[in-house]
Amino acid sequence: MKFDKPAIRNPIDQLKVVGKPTQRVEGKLKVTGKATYAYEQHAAAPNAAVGFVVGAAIPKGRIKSIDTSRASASPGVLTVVTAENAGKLGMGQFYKVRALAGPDVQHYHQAVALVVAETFEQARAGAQLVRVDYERVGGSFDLEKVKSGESPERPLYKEPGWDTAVGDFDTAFSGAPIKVDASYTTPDHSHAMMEPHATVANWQDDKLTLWTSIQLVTWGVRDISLTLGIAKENIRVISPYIGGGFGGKGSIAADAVLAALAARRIGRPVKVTLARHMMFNNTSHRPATIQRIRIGADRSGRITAIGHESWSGNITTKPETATASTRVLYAGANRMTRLRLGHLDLAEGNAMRAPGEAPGMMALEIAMDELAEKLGMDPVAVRVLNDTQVDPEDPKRPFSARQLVQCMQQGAQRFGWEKRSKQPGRHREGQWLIGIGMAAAVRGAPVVKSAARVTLGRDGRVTVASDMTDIGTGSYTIMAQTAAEMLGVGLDKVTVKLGDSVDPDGAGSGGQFGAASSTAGVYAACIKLRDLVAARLGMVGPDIEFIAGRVRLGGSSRPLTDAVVSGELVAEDAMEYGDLAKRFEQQTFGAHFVEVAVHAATGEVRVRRMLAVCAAGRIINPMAARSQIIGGMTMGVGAALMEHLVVDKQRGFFVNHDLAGYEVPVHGDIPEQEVIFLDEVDTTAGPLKAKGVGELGISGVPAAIANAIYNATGVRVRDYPITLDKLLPGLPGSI
Amino acid sequence: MRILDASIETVRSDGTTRKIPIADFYRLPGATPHVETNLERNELITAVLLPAPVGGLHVYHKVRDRASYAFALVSVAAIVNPDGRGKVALGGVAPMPWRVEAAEEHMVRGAAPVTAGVLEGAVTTEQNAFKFSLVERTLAGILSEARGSTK
Repeated sequence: MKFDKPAIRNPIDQLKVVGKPTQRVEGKLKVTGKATYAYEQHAAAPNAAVGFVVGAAIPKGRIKSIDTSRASASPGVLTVVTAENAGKLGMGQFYKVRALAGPDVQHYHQAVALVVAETFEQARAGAQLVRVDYERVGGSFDLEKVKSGESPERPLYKEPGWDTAVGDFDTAFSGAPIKVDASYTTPDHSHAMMEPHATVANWQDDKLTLWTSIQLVTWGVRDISLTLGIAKENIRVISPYIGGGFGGKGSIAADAVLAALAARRIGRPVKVTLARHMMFNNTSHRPATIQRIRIGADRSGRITAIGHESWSGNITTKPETATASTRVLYAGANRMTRLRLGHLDLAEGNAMRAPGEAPGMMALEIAMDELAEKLGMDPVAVRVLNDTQVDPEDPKRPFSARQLVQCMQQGAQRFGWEKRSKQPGRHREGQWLIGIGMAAAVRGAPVVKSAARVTLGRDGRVTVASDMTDIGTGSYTIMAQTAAEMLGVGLDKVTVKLGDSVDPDGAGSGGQFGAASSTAGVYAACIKLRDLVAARLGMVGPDIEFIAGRVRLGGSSRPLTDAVVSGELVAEDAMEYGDLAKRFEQQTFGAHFVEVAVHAATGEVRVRRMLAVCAAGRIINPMAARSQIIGGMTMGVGAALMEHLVVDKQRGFFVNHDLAGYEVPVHGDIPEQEVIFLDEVDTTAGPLKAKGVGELGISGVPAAIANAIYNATGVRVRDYPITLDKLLPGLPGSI
Repeated sequence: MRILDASIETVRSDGTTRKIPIADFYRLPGATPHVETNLERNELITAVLLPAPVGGLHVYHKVRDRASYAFALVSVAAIVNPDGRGKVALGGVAPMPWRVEAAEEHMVRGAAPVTAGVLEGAVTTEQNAFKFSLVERTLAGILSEARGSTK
C-alpha cells in the first residue's frame, strides 16, 4: 500500500481503541518473569554452551601472538574462537568496526577471543588464561586536540551535505546589534541499557538461528549475512523481548557474531552475553561534541543570523549530526551549519537516542537562553517571536504540523513560569538556590516501509505478525490497538507476534520511526484483510464498517466470524511512502520546563519538578507515550548532570566502564514529572496520523536544566555534565 | 565516629581481645595499599564503642552529584557546640577519615581557617583541586546551619 497523499478519514478515526491509555499487552509476561529475553532461550536452544569474551587490552595496534593453549586445556572449555580460526569475516552495514580483532586491534576491548565452555564460570576462568602479546601503536583519543589541529593544510573530514548555508551568515552576524557567540561541549555517552547485549546461536546444517537482543531484525539478518558470508535465506533472527537499546543494539554486535562462529565450531548452541564492564568500550556510544553557536538578532529579538558548527570524532566516517535541530527550529534569513569529523581510535561512535538532536539541543537551547538574556527578554517570548511555520531553509515547504508555540505557552502557564525570577540567583530557600528554566524541543518524525501479516482465525482471534521489535517502548500494544480498531474487535481478541525474521519486515525500532511506521504496516495489512472479509461476506462497498465484532454495510450487519466459517483469512501488506516527506517538514515538538535547587554551599544540583508539553501527531497510546517521554526526560537529567564517559587520553579508553562509575539517574534524582500531549493529528505522517515520541522526550531536556541552574545561581556552564565542581567558583561567598 | 573518638573492640582467634582507638585504626597506604586498617590476621571487630552523648549539634553532610548510590566527593562530619567550638572530620579527601585536631581550635573563626588547617599539606591534581573549596564551603554551610539552630 502506498501512502502518497495526506490521510483522509479512515477506520482509525473511530478511536474506540487507538488513542486510549492502554496497559501493555505483554506486561504480565514481563512482571511475572515469563517473557523470554535473548539469553533465556533455554527451551528453544537447550544444552547451550557458554561463551565469554576476551577484550583487547590495548587501544590500537596488532596482536603479535595469541596463546590459547592453557585456556583450551582449562576444565570444561570446548573451544576458543580467535581471528586465526574464525575464517574471513565481512562487514555489516550499520556497525563498521570489526566484531573480532586480529591481527589488527582497532580499539580497546574489541573482542580478541571467545572462550566457550560448559558453564559460565568455566568460560570466564578460561578467558583469564588466554595470553595475548600485543604491539601497541599510538592512536588518537583527544577530540580537543584533533579539533585544534585542524588547519587549511590539515582539514578535518567532511562530506557533501555536512555544510549548509542560506543567505549571508557572516555579514548578517557581524552586523547584528545583539550577538551570542559561545562554545559548548558534550561528552561521550553510553546507552547503558538494562539488558546487556546477548545472543544464543544455533546451527542446523547450514541454517543459523540467532536469538539476540536487537532493535532492527531486518538489519541483523542483513549484517550477519554480510559478516559470515552466508545467504539471508539461511538466517533466522529472533528477538521477541528486548531490555532497552537506545540505539546501542541497532544491528548485530560482537556477541552475535562470536556466538555464531562458536556454535558452528562445536556443533551445539552457544550463548554469549557481554559482561557489563565490556559494554562501554566494546560496543558503540554517543560521540562527544564541541560546538560553536553564533546567533545574531535585531533589538526586537528577531534572529537575523544563526550559525552552528559541530566537531566530533569517530573511528568510522560517521559524524554526530549535532546541527540538525538548528536547521529547522527557528526563523532567520541568514543561516549556516557545519559538521567536521576527526579520527579517534575509541570504540565506534554511533546512534544513541535522538542522535544529533540530543547533543545539538544541549548547546542550541542554552544559546537561546543566552540570547534572551542579552535582549532582556523572556526566554519563552524570544522563542515565540522566532517561530516559523515553514522550513527556514526552504520557505516553500511548510511544516506538516508545528505547535511549538502552543507547547511553550501552555507549558509556561501550567508550570508557573511567571514566578521565575528574571534576575538569576535571587530565589533562595534556606541554603538552596532555586531556579526555573525551559527549552524548546524538536525531533524529526521519519517514517519507513513496514510490513505485517494479519490473520483472522476461525475462532475470531486476530493475529498480527511482523519482525518489528518492542524494545520496551510498547510496540506490541500499539500494533494490537491498530488491528483491533481496524477490524472492530476488542484488544483481548488480538495477539501480536514480533521480532522474528520469518515474519514480514517491520520498521524495527530506531530513529523515532517505529511507532508510526509499524502501525501503518498493520493498517495496510488490515485494509487488505477487510477486503477479504467483505468479499467472503458479499458485503462490498465503500461504507463498510467493522464495529464490535460485526461487519455492517447499509442495513445489513453480520458477525465478523461469519467470514471465517470456511477457513481463516490471511492478509499481508507493507506501507510505503511517496514524497510527502519532501513536500512537508515533518517534526515533533515539545517544550520542557524544569525547576532545580542548587545547594548554595556545595553546588549540588537537585531537580525538583519537570514538565514536558509535546505535540507529536495523534498519540496512539497515551500511557506508553507518556512513559517514553518520562524515560527521555530521565535520560536528559543524566545528560545534564552526570553522564560522562571519561576518556583516558594516554591509554585510550573509557575509564568509567561500569554503572558505578558511569552514573545515570537513580530514583532519588527523579522528582515529579508531568507530561502533556497537545491534541494533534498529522495527516502527512501516515494513516494513523501519528508520530513517534521516543526521542522527543530527551531532546532539549539537558538545556532546560542548564538554564534552570543558571537562573538559580547566575553560573553559566557550557560544558556538560554540569557537575558541582563547575559551579563552585561562581557560587555566592556567603552561605 | 572519628570525631566522637570511638574505639573498636576486637577478638583474635586465640581469644584475646583489645580495644583500638579509632585514631589508630586506619592506615595510610604507604607501601602496603592493600592493608587499610591495623587489624591483624585472624582478628575480628566485635563492637564499636561510642561515648555518652557529648552535646552540641551533630551534622554529617555527604556531598555528591547524584542524590543516592554514589561515593562522597567530600563528606564533612562536625559537632558544633553552642559556643562555636567543635570538631570536624572529612571523608573523600584521603584514604581514611581525615581529622586534624589542632585545626579544630579555629572553629570559632569559621570554615576557612579550619579547612586550611585540616587540609594543610594536601596535594591536589587538576581533577580534584575543587575539593579544597568544596570542603570549606560544605563546612561553612554546616556552621551557618549551626548558627541558625542556636538563634
